Amino acid sequence: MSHSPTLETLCASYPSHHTLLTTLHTFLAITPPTFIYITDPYTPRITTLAIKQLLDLFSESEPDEKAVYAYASINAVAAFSPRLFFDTALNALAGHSPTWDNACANWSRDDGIKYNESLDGFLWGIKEVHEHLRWNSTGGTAKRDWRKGRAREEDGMQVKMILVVERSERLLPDLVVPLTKLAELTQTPVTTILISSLPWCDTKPLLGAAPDPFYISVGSPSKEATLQILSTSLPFVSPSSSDTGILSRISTESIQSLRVPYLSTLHSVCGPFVSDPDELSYIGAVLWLTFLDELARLSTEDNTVYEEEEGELDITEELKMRLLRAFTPKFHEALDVLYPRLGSAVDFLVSASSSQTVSTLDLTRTEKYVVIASYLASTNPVKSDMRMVYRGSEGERKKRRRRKSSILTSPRKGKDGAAVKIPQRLLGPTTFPLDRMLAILGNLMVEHEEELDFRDEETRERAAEVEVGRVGLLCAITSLTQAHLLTGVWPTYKCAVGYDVVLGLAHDMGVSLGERVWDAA
Amino acid sequence: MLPTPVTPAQKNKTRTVEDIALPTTPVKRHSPSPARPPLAKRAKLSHLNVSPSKSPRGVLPVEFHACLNAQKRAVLAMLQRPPLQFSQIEEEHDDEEPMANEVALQQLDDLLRGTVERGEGNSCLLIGPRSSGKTRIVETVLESQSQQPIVIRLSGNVQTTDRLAMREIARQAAVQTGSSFLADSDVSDPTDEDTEVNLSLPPSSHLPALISVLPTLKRPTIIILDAFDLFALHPRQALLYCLLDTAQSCRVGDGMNGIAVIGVTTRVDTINLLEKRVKSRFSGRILRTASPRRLSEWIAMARTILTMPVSDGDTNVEWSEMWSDAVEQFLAERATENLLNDTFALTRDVAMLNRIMVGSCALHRRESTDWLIQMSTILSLTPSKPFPTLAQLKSATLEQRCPPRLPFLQSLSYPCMCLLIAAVHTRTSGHDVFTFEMLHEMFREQVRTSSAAPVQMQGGSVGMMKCSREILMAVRLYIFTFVPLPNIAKEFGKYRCMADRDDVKKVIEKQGGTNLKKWFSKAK
Amino acid sequence: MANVAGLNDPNQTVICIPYAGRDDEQEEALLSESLYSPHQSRDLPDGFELRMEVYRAAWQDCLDRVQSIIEALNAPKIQQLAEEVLSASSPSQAVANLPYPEIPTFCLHGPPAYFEDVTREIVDTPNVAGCHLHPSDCSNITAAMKSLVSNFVNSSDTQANSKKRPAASLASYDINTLRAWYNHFDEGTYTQLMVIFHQFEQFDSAVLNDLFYICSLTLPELPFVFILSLSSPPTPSYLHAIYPRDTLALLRVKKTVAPHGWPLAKRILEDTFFSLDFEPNIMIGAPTLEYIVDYFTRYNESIDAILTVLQLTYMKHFDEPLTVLARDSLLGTDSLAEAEQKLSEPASFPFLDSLLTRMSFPSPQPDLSSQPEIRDDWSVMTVASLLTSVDTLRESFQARLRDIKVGYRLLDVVIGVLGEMGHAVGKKGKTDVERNDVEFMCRVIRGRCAKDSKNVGAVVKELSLTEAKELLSSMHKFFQDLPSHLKRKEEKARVKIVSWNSQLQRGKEGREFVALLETIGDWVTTYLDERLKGLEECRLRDIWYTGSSPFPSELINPAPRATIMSALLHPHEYIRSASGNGETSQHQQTPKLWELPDTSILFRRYLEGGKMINVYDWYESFAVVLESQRNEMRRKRQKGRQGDGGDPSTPSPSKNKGKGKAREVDDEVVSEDEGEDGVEWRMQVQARFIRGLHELDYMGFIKHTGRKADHVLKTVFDVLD
Repeated sequence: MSHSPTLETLCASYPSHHTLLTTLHTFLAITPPTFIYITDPYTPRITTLAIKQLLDLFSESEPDEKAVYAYASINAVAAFSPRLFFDTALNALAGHSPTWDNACANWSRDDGIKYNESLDGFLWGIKEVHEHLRWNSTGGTAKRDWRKGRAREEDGMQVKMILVVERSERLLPDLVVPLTKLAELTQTPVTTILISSLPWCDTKPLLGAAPDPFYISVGSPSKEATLQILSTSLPFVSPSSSDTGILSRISTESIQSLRVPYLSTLHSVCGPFVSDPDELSYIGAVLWLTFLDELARLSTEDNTVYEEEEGELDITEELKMRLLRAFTPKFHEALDVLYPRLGSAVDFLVSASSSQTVSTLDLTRTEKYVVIASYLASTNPVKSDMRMVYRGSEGERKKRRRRKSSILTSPRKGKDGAAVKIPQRLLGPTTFPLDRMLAILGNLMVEHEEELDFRDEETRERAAEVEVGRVGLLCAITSLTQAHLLTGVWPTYKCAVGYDVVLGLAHDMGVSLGERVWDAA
Repeated sequence: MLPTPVTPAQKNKTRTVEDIALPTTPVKRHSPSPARPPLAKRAKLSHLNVSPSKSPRGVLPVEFHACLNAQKRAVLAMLQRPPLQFSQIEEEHDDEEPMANEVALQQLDDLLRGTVERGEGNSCLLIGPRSSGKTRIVETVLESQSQQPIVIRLSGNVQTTDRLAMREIARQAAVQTGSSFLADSDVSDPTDEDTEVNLSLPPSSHLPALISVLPTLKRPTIIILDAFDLFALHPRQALLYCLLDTAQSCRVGDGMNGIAVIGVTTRVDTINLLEKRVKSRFSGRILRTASPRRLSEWIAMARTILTMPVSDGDTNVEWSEMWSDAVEQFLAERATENLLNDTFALTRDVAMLNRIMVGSCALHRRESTDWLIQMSTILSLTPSKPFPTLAQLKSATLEQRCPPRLPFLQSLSYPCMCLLIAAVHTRTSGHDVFTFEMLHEMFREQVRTSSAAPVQMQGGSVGMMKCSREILMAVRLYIFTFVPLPNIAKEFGKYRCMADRDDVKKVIEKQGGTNLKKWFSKAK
Repeated sequence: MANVAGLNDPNQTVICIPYAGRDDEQEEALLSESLYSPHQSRDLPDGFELRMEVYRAAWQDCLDRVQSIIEALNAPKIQQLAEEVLSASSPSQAVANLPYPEIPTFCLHGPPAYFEDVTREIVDTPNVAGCHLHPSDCSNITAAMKSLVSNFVNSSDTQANSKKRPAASLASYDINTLRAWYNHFDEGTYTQLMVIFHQFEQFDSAVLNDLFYICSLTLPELPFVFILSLSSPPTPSYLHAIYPRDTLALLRVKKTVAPHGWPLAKRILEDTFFSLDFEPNIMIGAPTLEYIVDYFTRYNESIDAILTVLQLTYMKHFDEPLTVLARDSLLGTDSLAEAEQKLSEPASFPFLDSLLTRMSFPSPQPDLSSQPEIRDDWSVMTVASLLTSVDTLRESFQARLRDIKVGYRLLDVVIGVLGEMGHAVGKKGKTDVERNDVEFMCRVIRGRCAKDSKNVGAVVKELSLTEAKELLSSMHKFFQDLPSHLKRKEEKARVKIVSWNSQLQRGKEGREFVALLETIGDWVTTYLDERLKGLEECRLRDIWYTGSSPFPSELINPAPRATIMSALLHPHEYIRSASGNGETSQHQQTPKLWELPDTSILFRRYLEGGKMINVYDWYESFAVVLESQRNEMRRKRQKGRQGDGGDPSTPSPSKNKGKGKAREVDDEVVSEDEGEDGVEWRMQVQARFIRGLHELDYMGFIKHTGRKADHVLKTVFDVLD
């Protein structure tokens, strides 16, 4: 896609954007509306890419007779302050790139004037840029006049400026309205194109202050489109020439011929879950080499039969089938690991199996206790503490069991339309006062710490209280907070660790979590 | 407008060759005896065995491509600066009282003439719904002035404070008079060197001085305040006060040049926003613009635009008649009319509703929608389908009139659908607000109970769900009910589902597998 | 107390408020008297300073040792990590054909100190530009970008900075400024732009989301590399929990964990106290070891914690006067002669006495083997000979220690080898490895290893030929590698092994082999036994050996809240322990309420109250107690009068009130009680009430909420007593 494309090649490489591209092309060729809004919830990045290339197409084309094109593409996230927006836009439009040696000076017609300090400054900047462009285009013949409104049509050469804003939902609110009527405000032929994943009705300013845009919406990429994008993004990758394995004996063409089935399998496996071509091509790129290894393995297997003859060996149909079938689970695995980025691509390659088993985090005993206790404190209702945590007689324990089971058997739908009680574990942790957690903690330790002696009944409580009040323990709370396993500030905290992790910890400490969580899973 | 019976009639007319020679009627005054232009056309195209009346029309012969493009260019250019409405009304409704815009234009013209030629101080308000031609009227009037006045354009959206406005006034005036005045505050001083963004603004104390300078400029000054109502929101309306005061006190003939203050706004009650002292300075002149009142005018306008004569150079008689006839065909079709009628009715409702509700700028999308329709209709003209067709109009209308509210519902990945269904379930169980964990719990349960394909088991792994949740969040299928604390775990953020049950139902019907449908149907 | 660091930091659960003198004068006077000397009875006049000198020297040795060990352990890891990071942006690291480039990101899970080392290592390398970001810099995106850009731009001394930037130039928080700066260098000046995030958890995730996004936009052009320092454990990953997938998709995350945990700690302990080439002046005893492992596993898995414990142990150890002799016998002078002279001065007689008594004191198990020459009549002994004999004792102690170390190491080696062969030696006591290791060390120090050595010997006798060879060779290697001074000492052991080895080489078989194994096994046992004798029976060992003295755990891990409570509930016990002489009798039974200090009385009443306390009721109840107290006093004094002179020995309870004020007050009571009471008395009561109230308030027992008129909120409810 590096070589300068034509409209046709562009449309070919972005099939799903065909209408978009042609429409824009016509617009730009003739007279664009001053405000275009493009909605693409599926592939914003690719859309922006395509549009940029289209604009390059125009701006790089020789200013033959009709018009000179200048465009600026701005990322609304990157332009987090008006000044940034102004600078980026004007510099790009004027084709000026600030260099360090002239101290990052912005573009300006006659130097020193600042266009970036306020909105109207920016408007002047646009006018200036327009003048400048006309000046250059007409070889300096065009005189500076301030009513460019009409003046343009007279002399044949016209300047067209396009302002492309991607992620426009993040655009600074006070910039939106002026941008939408930029042409009117500056009396210049400038077109604003906003690209966003959200529809205009979600992002438009209040009171209809902005005129209605010309809507263009991009649909979700079709299967063909996706495959097309995939195959362009995954060009031929030779098996690393160094390996002298069986792959070296397979002709590159036949390997090349594997790409299409490879990609289509990828799409058929992962497509239902991920529609974004970027993600698919990411997975595809990561897995390609492992795919080749798999190929090598299989072909060596059935080459054991006819080991003797040398030279090229081609990939039989059934081998291809076997290969793809064997590789399908790999795709799933990759999807589960890579798509959420649980592991980086490189790690996934080296350790071909994802190592995402929830290993119990290494903490000191106290910290483990604190985590468990705080989890209990932020999932169990306060009333239940006495029953759940304080380990009294058997009778009480039985009572608790009954209570618990009754919750589990409660019907999904509340009776007489009342809302179903949602377990706290699903609603997320609640905050708890430090003392409550300490009380729970004390009980846990009394029961599970044989090192500290809570032997005799009468002083046990007291001893537990002492242990719970130790500086070391309080420091543990601090360190846990810094590690964001607890959140909140003194004296109320909240547990930030999930159920399964706590389960692991409890297992280490020999605490039976199920008995203590009010409504266990 | 065309009587309906004509349309079928002209279909089975037979035409004779000699009509070719006839000069094509200028498109402007149509109200045609529908016979002749089609005649010409049929004969002309006959050797191309193309019937112009029916779509899909045949391929356009090569020699006309240039013409087509030229036509497109012309029409699009026209659409950029649509005509004021009175331009084509004369023939049709002479009987009525003149169009609002005509009146407005006339009055404004007089006003400015007064200022420009006799040096009066004037002020007026130009009020009208969106895209009803306010700005265009102003521009046309400005064009038509005998002597070029100093024009200062301010917009309430840009000059958000009086001081900004002052600086802008100073700048524009300085540029147009060539003499940089208001030198006491270093506004347009190129050599000030503060790098940080805070502006070197003139102190508000300079305001009266600055404004009072305006009439003394060598040419009369015309100040256009776009979004006038916003200026009225500035503290103490100082700017408005000064401007109007100067305008009022500007007497004819005491050596001063005239000054005119034109407020442009969509807000009908703007006058009430003015404080007493300000209002007393205001001349009270209010000019109104309006949109066409009748579908016929509307269609007429569409016609004018469509049949825009091709700008000089590649005029091709055959082409233009062919084209104009095609347009006639197009506009004459009953369905077209209905479609336009729908839009007309619909948007009128919107307009009224908004006027009542918002009480300010009415979202009046009548013409704009119409032009957009035409525009995109025009756009999609290709040599293979050279003439506007109904289908194009339809699609364009759908796309432009009311774009879908949740465009991302058109196609969803499997996990998204699962979450959607789960969300619906939570709602039916009485929880409008939910966390991701709840949805996921529900999903796991479903996977467990249903004998669904193991594939979904795969897809249901938490990671999968999480990220598809991410995607949904990115496209705002869920919006936060309340902004969660920073650094709250993702899965416990509180969400609410924007898509209601029917939306989801549609999606599931369209894409969902049987399992999903079953699951969805459980949510009653 | 506002100047106390972190007092207002809500994240701190524990704050140390340093002791800043008493605020009333007469105690000042008491404090500012002569220098601190706890045991005049048996100490040199300047004993304390001298001991502190010795302590510093000794501790410094130990500290240096530990730190050198840590560095030696970390260096290779850091090196490797640095290489990874530096090669991060080279294409070989990334996967080919990704749809868009990712930012190489390294998550360092571990203590900040380690992180510092790593980053220093990395940033110092040429053609890497570094930039440190702290949470405070990134309150919002503008600030974040500003500090990011300016950090880089200012890092390099480019002359362009000197040039004044014109008015219309890029903003200082504009990524394009950075781009311009980067591009103005010629190719390859900087191959990486390293961005280092300190305390990553503390950053605002919303800001960083944008920051990452913006950086990723410029990616191929600006070679960013991110390094995140996290204090959270690698799983569950903080990054994945907090940051959305869109952001994660921009990064190429690689996690590394700093070395930590027990193996590191064990290594440190062994190489410090059981190393053959390092001899600490002070050997730590079993209780300290046990406390270390306990504290380590229970509270604080950091090396600093271990260091702290060790240092405290040292300090405590040097509280003992005799330890002034720990390093040498010079007593802070330059020569033995001067030391002798110093010792003969009358001022130092108490010390001399104690030393003599200890010398003559028969050591616990009088073993005739060691130092018979000192066993002769001590009365004739001169000061000089005394000091020299101390030297010899020191020497012998070190020798014994050396033996023990050799034994320990050898035992370790042998057990290790046998373990590899699959012979379990001895019983695994506890399940967790830490305890095992430490117990082993403790056994060694205490010289309770008879069982171990016997087990080893037994196992050795069962070995097969090859195993035996292997064992011998490893043992031989062990002796080979001994540092020179020990090597000479263990010469004949080595020779023995060599000979056996050669015998085995001459493949013996059958009974000869068995016999040989027998001898070897026995030898091992005996050898170990005589090496691992334990330190107990060395004389004066308590100078060099903390022995079985318990570790003062309350110093490092107190329970302030409980302490305060019980202090308020049972003041007398604290007072008694403070004034060391345990006068007993009448205070065995719990004192009556009126006998308590004011604050305690107030606190008792407090506990009886409900959730909120009406201050006036509180005052009333307090006043009642004081009334009874006053009457009691009267009665006592009258009794004291008629009972002739009374007995001064039994101090009136008022004497036991900790609070100085209270004491005076009582004196006043005594003085003015026959005078008319009433107003003064009530004022007095009020004053005392207010004082007590403030003290409770200061200790945080009271929360003032405007919710209810003249009520205060309790912070403590049911206190277990």
